[in-house]
Amino acid sequence: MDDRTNIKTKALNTAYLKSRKFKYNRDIPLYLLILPAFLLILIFSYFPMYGVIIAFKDYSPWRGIIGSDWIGFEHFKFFLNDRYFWRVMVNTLRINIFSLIFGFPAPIILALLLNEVAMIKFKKFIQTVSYLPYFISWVITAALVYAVLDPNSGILNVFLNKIIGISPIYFMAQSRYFVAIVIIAGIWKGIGMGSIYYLASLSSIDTELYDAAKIDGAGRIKQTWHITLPGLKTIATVLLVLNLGSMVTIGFENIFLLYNPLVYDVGDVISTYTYRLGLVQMEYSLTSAIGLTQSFINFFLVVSANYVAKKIGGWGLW
Amino acid sequence: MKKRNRSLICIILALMLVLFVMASCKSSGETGTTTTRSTTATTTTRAGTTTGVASTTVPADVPASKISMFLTNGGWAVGDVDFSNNPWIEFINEYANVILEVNSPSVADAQTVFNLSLTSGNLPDVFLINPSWIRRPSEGALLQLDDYINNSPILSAFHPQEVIERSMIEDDGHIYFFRATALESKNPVTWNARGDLIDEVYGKVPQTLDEWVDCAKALKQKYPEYIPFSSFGINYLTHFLQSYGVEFTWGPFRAIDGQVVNVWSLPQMKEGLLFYRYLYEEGLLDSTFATNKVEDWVNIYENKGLLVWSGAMYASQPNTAYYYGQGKNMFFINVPTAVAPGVDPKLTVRPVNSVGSFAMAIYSLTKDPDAAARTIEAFSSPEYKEYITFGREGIEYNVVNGERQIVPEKYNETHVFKSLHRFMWNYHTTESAENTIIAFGMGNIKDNSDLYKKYIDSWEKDKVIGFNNADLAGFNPFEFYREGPAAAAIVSRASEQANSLAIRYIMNTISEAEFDAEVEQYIKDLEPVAFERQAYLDENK
Repeated sequence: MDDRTNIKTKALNTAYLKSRKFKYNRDIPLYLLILPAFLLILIFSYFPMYGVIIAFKDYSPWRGIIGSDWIGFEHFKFFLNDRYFWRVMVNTLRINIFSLIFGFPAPIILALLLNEVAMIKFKKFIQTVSYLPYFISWVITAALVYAVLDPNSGILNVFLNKIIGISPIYFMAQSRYFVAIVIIAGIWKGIGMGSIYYLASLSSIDTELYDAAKIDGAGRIKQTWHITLPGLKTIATVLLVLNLGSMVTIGFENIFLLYNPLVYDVGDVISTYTYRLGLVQMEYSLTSAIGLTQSFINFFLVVSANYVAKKIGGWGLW
Repeated sequence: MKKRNRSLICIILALMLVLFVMASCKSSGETGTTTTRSTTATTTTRAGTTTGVASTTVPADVPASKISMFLTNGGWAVGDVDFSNNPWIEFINEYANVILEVNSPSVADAQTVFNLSLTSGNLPDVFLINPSWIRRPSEGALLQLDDYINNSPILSAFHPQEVIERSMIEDDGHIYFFRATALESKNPVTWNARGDLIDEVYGKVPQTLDEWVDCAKALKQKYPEYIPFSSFGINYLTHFLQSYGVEFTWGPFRAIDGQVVNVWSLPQMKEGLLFYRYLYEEGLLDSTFATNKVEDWVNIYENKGLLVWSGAMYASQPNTAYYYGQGKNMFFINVPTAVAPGVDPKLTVRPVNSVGSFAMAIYSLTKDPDAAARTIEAFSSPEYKEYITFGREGIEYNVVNGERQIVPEKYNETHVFKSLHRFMWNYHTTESAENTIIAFGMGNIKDNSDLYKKYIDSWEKDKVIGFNNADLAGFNPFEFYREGPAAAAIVSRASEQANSLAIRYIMNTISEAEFDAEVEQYIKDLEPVAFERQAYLDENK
């Protein structure tokens, strides 16, 4: 083959290699692999979005979505004028904000501390112990919380009474302790698993940076501030944006299992409210309206948080 | 690894994932939870006479139809229900030519489980529920029962026409629910108490609130670890609110002289709550009552000297026999309600529901509506009533000199109080409950004739107290009142608010001003509901 033909062939090959067709053909097995997950999300997340229309209808399971009467924004008007709704919204925001303030940094701090531990066996022991609560269900966790805080036999009250001399406190029956109990229980349960993301990030930081910093005279704190924390910036931003995006959403299990009539004023949150309305009273349309509103607010928060993160940190989810 | 092999592996993995997803999406087409049991594996055919509805007459030798059934255990069963080898279900199967598959979640979960079934369009064929669980039955969830009732001598005879008209006809003029308790069956609510502890520490049954306090103090003095009064949340706590005529757990509204009154507007509510506060501060009321779970209450009831609580008239003696059989010497009695000074005794007892709060209904999409109707007919039949009252001749009873004599050992096998053999608890009769009590006593206390005599004497007194209560209170004027969806939502939310408010006031974690403000708001929230009820009361005088 002469040189011109060779060059032409090579040029065509290079163009082909860069072409979409080649990339598509090359990646077919991967597309096939991702197809079931894609179908799953399509069928269970996107298709059901059509059902959100019941938020604008007086939905009856027997008349179906199409057959139910259209009532427009009546449900929205109802819950926006309902003082109970605003109470649960405030409670939800309160718990989420405090969770963000105290719960978000907790796994970061644990990861930083673990990163500094030199003894491998001890480090692994702490990691294991801190991960284990994640695998305990909230039912067990709630029972543990009740047992620990029991005014008669709980270990905390025994300690307060016998060692410090304070008379027993009925923690679970007092609103002022409820938010703290929920957050502390949540931190205890999730700190180990949450730290995994940060530990993975930390392991990707080039150790030469630390060596160079040592040479330049930087102590531990300065190394953490100038090397470690910037190394965590990306993952922390991602998780922060995601957390902010669920500011008006809150888990159901933990609250439902921990709350009781005495703490409804601070403990009744949007998830327990929609559970009672939706599952117990079968107000499906109303709870769909609430869910839709939550989604809009969360969407707005995610977009805003991402925008701010990009502006400040130069990096966002998209 | 060669590129072709990698591709092949990816394709195979993808196909496997698709298959897994499709397999997990497969519909079972069956009802049921872990508590569902099939009763028999073989089909049965029904030969011989036909009974009941002309439209559901079954020709002989027609294979039995599978009918799924849902009901709550009504709190009478302990733990999971085993419906296998159950003579009650076999009776229904034989009578109605069906094969019943029963699902009976605990009373705490029943409504949620039912709602999920309703939403998923996967209702059982027949269910026994509170009619308020389906607010708009005319929309199509339920089968109209008019023709079945009109054409069935059994169903038409079960309830008088007046009761049918008052309690079962919906807004569209049709019947969708068939009330499950016959008019003559009464199960009054009384106070249940530990007779043995009262005898031991006080010597007599307390008649007034002061005497109950003294009795509780005497109990604490002798057994410091015992807890005379307890509850789980507000449940089982409100008997002393009955003393003040302001018990609210079954609804805050009373009909007093033709007017609908919210008991929270009465001064006696504060008095009643203050009485509980006094008990709490004196250490006579369980310090963790507000956050107890039902298991905690049961533990106190069984092991820590719970003194008195509100319960069913029939509950006391069987518990005595039951726990005696467990090796525990606990003697349960019914006691009269202690009336607070100045309170009308009529307001201190809970009105009786004439035909019960539960009803049977048929799913509109059931494959065999006639078989479902026959099932309801079977439960309503005189034969079933005979069966649950006396059992089977030659097995649970013998006829001696023209009279039925219960065989306790056999009767107790099928009529044991805490078992689910008698699972259709709404269909019990007064006589069946009495037979159960006597037979259960004979079966469990046979080695202790003195105790058995005391047991029977106590039951005779309990009946007097129970039926006196029922006569005093009369029937519930709101028994057949059905709240509209908006009102139901208000009432449900308000009841949580009321429970919370009561508990906080008892525990003194709320100031007087806050309490008064919340009560005012609570009453205001319920005003629309009060108006609706007043209109209903005026219409149904």
